[in-house]
Amino acid sequence: MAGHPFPSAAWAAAYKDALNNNPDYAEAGRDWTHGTVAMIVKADAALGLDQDMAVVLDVHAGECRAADFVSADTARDRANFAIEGVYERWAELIREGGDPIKALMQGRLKMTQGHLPTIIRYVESSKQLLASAQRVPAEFLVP
Amino acid sequence: MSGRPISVEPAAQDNGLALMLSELIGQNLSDDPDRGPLLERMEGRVAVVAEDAEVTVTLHFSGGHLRVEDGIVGLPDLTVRASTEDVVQMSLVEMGVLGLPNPRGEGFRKLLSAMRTGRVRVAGGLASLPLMTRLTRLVSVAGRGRDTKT
Repeated sequence: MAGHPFPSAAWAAAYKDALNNNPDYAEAGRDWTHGTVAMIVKADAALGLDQDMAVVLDVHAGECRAADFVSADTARDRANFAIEGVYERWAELIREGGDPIKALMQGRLKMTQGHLPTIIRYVESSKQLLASAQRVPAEFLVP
Repeated sequence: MSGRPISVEPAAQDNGLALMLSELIGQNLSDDPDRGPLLERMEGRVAVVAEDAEVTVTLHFSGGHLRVEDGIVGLPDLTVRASTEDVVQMSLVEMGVLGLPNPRGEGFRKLLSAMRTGRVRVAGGLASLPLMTRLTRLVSVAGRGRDTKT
């Protein structure tokens, strides 16, 4: 099965389905009522990413109500929480898995918007967000 | 020293753990001003080593100010070595009466278990126990959450 280019509208739509088909996310995120989460990918001309882009997840009570592929400016305006990183870091995390909080501690990703204590309380939910992303058939950009 | 209660040294600006701890403590102080006096009473250095992430910070408490530094700077009064997951667990300890960890809380029991099995190792003298207790209270997020754009 061909993958969806990451990031893209098709990838975002498939991500929404993956989240809603992940019972572990439904459980871990069932108390999440704190708003939207943006995954912001920094621009990388070598990869053809001319501007910062993002996938904004409208997640609520263990359900993903929408996943939109938008410009980072739109994402920063709309999202309650924003996590930013360069393309390579996001691709590594999605391909290889891992702990998003560990990535934050290592400085591989940065939380640029939102209330960190809330994110810390939902550490399992953030792991399941990443686990769901790994289930999306993806094609990653190469220079 | 700046007027802000927390500063991150320039060398620590790329240290994700440093940024997270400074943000976490700053946000907790902002959300719960009752914790402000804690910072006033804290004196000493705490090194936190997230072993699997291979990052280390030193939290230097002095005169009501917290300076966050990259690596181990100076001689720490306390050194906490733990996995990323257990560093997070430290902030999920529920606080009980008198500002002490609630021994019945799930977060506390998980942390205690991690300490018993050696996953979390704390090195330091008994005299540093109040520093550890106050740090736990300063970073605790248990039982709280907040919308940020409503």
